[in-house]
Amino acid sequence: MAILTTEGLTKNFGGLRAVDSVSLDFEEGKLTSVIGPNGAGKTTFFNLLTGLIKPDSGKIVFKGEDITRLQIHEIVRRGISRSFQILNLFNEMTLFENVWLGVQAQQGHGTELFADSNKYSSIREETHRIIKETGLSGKEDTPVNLLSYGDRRILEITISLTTKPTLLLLDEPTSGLVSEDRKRISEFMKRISSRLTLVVVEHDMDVVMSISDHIVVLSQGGILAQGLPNEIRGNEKVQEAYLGGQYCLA
Amino acid sequence: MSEFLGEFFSFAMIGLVNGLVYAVVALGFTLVLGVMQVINFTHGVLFAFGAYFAFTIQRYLNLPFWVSLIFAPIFVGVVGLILERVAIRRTYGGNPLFGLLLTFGMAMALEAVIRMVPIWGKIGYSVKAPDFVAGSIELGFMTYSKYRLFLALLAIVIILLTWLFLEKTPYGGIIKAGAYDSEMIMALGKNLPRLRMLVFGLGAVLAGVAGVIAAPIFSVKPAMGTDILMPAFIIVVLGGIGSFWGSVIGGLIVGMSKSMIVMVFPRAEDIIPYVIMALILIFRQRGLMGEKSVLEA
Amino acid sequence: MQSQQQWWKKLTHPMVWIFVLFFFFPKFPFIGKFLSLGTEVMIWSLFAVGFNILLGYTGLTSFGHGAYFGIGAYTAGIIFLRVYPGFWIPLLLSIVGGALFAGLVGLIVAKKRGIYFALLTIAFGQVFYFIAFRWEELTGGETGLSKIDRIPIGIPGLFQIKLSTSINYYYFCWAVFLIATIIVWKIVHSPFGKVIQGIRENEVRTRYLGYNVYFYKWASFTLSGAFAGLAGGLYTFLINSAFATVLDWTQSGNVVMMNLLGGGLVNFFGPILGATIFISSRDLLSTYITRGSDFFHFELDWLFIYGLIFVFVILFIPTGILGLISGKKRTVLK
Repeated sequence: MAILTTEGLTKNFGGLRAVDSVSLDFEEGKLTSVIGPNGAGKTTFFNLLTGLIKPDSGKIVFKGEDITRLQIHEIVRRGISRSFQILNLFNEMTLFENVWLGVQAQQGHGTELFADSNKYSSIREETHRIIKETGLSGKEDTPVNLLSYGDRRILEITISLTTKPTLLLLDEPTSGLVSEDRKRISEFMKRISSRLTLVVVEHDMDVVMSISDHIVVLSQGGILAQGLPNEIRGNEKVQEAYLGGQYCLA
Repeated sequence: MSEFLGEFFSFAMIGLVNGLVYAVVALGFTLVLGVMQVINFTHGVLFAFGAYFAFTIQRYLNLPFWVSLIFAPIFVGVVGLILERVAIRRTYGGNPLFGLLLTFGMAMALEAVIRMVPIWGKIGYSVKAPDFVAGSIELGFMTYSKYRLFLALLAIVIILLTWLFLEKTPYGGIIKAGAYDSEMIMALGKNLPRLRMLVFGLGAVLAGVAGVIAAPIFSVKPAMGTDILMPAFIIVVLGGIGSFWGSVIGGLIVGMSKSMIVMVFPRAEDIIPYVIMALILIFRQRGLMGEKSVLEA
Repeated sequence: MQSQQQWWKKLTHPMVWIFVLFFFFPKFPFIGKFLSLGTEVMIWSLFAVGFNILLGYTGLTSFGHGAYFGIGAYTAGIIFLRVYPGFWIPLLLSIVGGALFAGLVGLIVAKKRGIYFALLTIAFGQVFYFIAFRWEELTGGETGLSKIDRIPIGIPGLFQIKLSTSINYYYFCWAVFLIATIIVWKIVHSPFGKVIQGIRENEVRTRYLGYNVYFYKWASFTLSGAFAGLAGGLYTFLINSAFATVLDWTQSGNVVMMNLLGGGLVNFFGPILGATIFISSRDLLSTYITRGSDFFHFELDWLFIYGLIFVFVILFIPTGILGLISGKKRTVLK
């Protein structure tokens, strides 16, 4: 069952066709990786799916509803969430506050003008619980810009989980990490993939091959190929697109 | 009937001429805004300096008009360069709020300087038009001030020269591109500090020369800088930030609307540019010729 | 013991000693007699604290909030002179006036970003300024409105307080200032307050958490407009008149300056410090400058000094005085 479908999704920037008539189905409960050379349009694709930019043509359907014209917060409230390739945190705030804000939203608060936010124990407890789950306990009061890069990467994903999405888009979650941390995140993704549908943009082929149920290859804004990991591994067109085997798929 | 027509054209001409002056001012403002993302509050006071320098050269040095036309803008340009080098430069890359506030404070101090200079002082002056264009000319159904026609001509020449500079010279081309998308300049790897100085200097020169030519028709007083700043803001927003023709057309729209409204509802003279701006913004979010720019981040 | 510590912390909380200071100000030697100045300081502090909801907490720079101060001022004056010569009604309506017009403008500007936001707030501010200046029938034009008296307040039959004396009006404004500051404190420490700070830190991410950022920006704009209106109303009753000059964009620049100078970007109480310094030194400086001018036979313009101070603050102490003292960079406001 496809939880998310795009039909002919297209986006141009000036003369550049960033996303070229992309029609895709994303199976519910599966982990789909989106791969492709730089500039293939992957981040733009995520931006379109989540409402950050509007497509020039095409449709996006989520759980049967056309969400193409919706605003970001409306899409998020329907169950889609996303993490960013370039860290997009609340830099001057503490770890606790970073997670808090999402939990507060998910529990339906934000418009109370006169209540003391410290009194919301349900938000506080849930925030602590989430931080514990990600293994970052003890660093709650650290300003985020003082955390290590690896911790910040985890936080980046954690924040996107606070909204309790059914569909999570992760944009290069292991970007810039050393192999230990990559494994950590890889395991983390496998763990959560049982609870929700994941779509992951990744460059690390080891990670991609080990976690994906399905792979989509984008190149120059269009779909080059898609299928099971094994199928993609042996696909010549895909190997070519990655500039003569720069990314070893074997 | 011909009386009404005469009056109508008279107002229209005033609006056109004023509009051309506004256009020159707005041009300098929009280039700085577009390329450097600085809302330059000092632009108005630089305009005033242009007028005051011209006034000083003519009245105290007794030199002919063309001397002030050449040298006053140069002086203003130098002042602008100093401001850029000493202060404004420090605000790049930071919160744009700071650049805005900085130029706000500087404009205030500089306007006070005008009031403090002994030969300038707080009162207004009227500057005489140069002799060769003094007086008026018969235009069939109306008489018109020769100087205003001359002024219109000068303004058009200045606009064209600026256009030539932007279109035909390499630095001009970079500025033109950068006015829309300053990230592009960085990508091109050109000497950014020098470029910024150039842009700011150009903006200052344009403000200064506008001040020189406008001096005979606007009254030369310390507040003239603040008075012209608001129209400049409006024109730039209305015409599109960073857009050359947007500033020119916007300038004409503002100039014309102000003078025409005086014919029917004089009290609205100050407000009409805002109304037009609001209307344009409703239908074209970025102004008449604006494009999506880095400024909206 | 913990509860003693807590008690001490509560007692020395800035909220407490600031208001204690202001309470005893009239008793201070030498300066205590400048009641009108003291009242003005509190009024502008109220304005600045409310404005900081928008500037310091939401991170939006409006350069046209002087307009809502002015609208509040005129609302109080017009209601008093033309509709009902009371006290509470004009004052309460000044809040409504400020909020209403800020709300209307907010609908438009909350959608805008970056420079367009700043320019539009300036533009709207100027529109209101010119309306106040030119709509003579309503606002008295250049001459403004006058003879707006402070009538006694109280409960008929029980007690009456004459507000017409400077000292009584000082304490009335003190009470309003206290209540308003507590309200702003509650707002910025509420869930709403957390969201607007999120917007300041990272607007896009805040959207991605499911918050309707446009609503929050609009609300922030409107709330600060309400406080501006209240301050305007109090000011009208202070000087018993209303003038268009308060709506000018240079006044809007003043309140931004106050917030910055005091450290409103890093501390809740920064605006109060900034307003106090600004209003006091404005009067002090003008007096000394005039004396200095006479002495040196050179007319030094007060605005020249003011402009230079402005520039100095921006370049060297952008986090303001409180920021300097606490050594904080731009940080989450406590």
